[in-house]
Amino acid sequence: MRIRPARKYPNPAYPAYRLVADNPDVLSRHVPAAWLRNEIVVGALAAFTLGGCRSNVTVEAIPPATAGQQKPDAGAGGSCGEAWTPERRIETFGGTVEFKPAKTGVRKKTAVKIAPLFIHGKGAGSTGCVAIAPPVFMSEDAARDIVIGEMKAAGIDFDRTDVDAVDEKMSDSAEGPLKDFLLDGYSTKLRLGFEFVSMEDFARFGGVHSRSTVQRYDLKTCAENARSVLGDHFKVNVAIFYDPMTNVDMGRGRKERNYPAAEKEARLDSATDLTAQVRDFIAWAKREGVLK
Amino acid sequence: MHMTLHITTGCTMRCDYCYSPPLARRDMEIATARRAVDYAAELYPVNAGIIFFGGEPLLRLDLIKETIAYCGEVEKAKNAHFHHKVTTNGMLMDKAFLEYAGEANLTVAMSFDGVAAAHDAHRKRADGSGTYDALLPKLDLLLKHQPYASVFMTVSSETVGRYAESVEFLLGRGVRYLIVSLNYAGAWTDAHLKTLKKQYVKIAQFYERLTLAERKFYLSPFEVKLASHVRGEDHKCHRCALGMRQVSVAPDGAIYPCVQFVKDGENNRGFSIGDVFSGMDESGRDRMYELSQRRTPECESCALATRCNNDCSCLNWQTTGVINEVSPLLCETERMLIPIVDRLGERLYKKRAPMFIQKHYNAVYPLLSLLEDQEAGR
Repeated sequence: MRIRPARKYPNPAYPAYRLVADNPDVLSRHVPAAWLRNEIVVGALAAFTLGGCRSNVTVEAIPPATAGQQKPDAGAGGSCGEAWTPERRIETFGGTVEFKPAKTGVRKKTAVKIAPLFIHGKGAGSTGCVAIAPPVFMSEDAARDIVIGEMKAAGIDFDRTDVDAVDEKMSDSAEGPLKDFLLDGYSTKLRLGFEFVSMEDFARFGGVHSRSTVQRYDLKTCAENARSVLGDHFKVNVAIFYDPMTNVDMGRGRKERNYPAAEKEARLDSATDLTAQVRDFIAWAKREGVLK
Repeated sequence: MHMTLHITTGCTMRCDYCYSPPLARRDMEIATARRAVDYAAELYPVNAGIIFFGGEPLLRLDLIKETIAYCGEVEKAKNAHFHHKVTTNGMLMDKAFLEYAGEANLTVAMSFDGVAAAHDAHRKRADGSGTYDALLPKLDLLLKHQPYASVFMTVSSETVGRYAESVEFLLGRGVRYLIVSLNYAGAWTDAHLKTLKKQYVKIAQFYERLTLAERKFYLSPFEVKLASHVRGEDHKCHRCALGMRQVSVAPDGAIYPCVQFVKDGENNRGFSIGDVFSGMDESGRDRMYELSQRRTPECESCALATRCNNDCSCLNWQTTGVINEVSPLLCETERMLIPIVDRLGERLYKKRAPMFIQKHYNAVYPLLSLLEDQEAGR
């Protein structure tokens, strides 16, 4: 052991405080699910973080919204500078702060939870002539094996697959993205489904085909769109996962370029990322009471 | 300004890593405690912290109660404000005390070293028996009465292999504020450091899982290292300012710049900077402070200097005998920890983990968190 000064140290790739604090969007877009279920907290967050404008507080995780409750939805809370009438007080070390609940949206929700997306894998990439590190895509079947296997290990059995959401009265819409929509897996006992957003779902959930030789796929955004759609129309709890789309990196730790080997590694990474998504979901669902 | 009153050198335990092991018992007189309160009110009437420390301070619960009552009198007479805290080993803690603490706004912090094998390795009674079994129910009781109570955990070279396990255990038990220190005075080898690195990696993974699951907790030193990057220059205000923001008062009223300098209250007078009766030796305090702020050339040239715990004068003095000279062990462990924490921060930010973003980038996070808890309890 000895004293050894670090001559160099790279700047870490997470931002300094000021960069985020000066950009309230980051704070308003990434709000813990438990806070979003609490109108007082949403109101306080908006008041303090957004300078009294709470219209930017968006819903990363749709709150449980029990019948009759209103969801603190995006854009549904009055305008900037709206008077803030005290409704209750909280004692703090620095004195007393007063709050009132945020005004919330008009849309009523049923008692359904659409899980937040758990981010493992960037879920985006390009194919075509200029794409030097194309992604690997995971098939629905491969993903189903991973999801069902991980869930089973946690004691959750999905007894049905490819469930017609409209026939089963899970969805109140059969239009647009929900036309002929089949839910990838469903547990009758838990009233819990899952949907893996794969390349097959690209167009269904907002992806646009480029009609050129280069195509960009962003399945993570598609998964976010799926959350929104299912949150609006579904009557059962749903977990949403997405294809991590790992890039095939032929340079990674290899002296010789070997595409099949690099592709295999990328598939392995994708499987690891999807597993991590499922594990995070399980932890979240237990905490939220979706799983007992 | 915090004033730490070392109200007794007596203790109910014999932890072998203790930096001020109980010798002949000396207790503070109530007149000394009262004078310390008066002096704290003179120094910082806005909101002076009176911290009860030992030895084991609950051996003198009577003095704690009298002192807090006297603070109330001073608040009325001099328009001063106080807050109170006690750091205990927990042995004498019971329901009646915790009810009193609740009424008196006395914040309780407890020492607990984690799983049984780690805790009992050092935290023993005078007869050598471990205290885990006796203290675990006390920890639960404390968390029931004060859910935000801080828990201090010490990791030694002997227990480093159980570091991650102990962190998981305590956070799983319901601890929300866990402050972990290494026993730098212990016999650490390179093999121990390898183990420590593995443990830090495990803890980082655990921290990540908890944060993604949106659990609220405070885990030092991880939070401190994240803040040292996120807050950058602002983080400097949290660094040691020897004798400036907090002082310790020995049982006889002598003032020391920090807790470890008090020792047994008798035999370290060279570091005393006055007493509560005649006041602070300002020039002595300034000299010590200036020395503490002076970095060695090696630290000065280090790219991690502003993020390292090299400024803890107590720790430096304890390990090297010089208040501004770091030990090789500290240098090794800090260079090990910071990159692990940074990779953790990078992963969490990349995933835009909501709890990470709010905790580290939202200035009103503590308030929102408290509000959420209050609402949940309604």
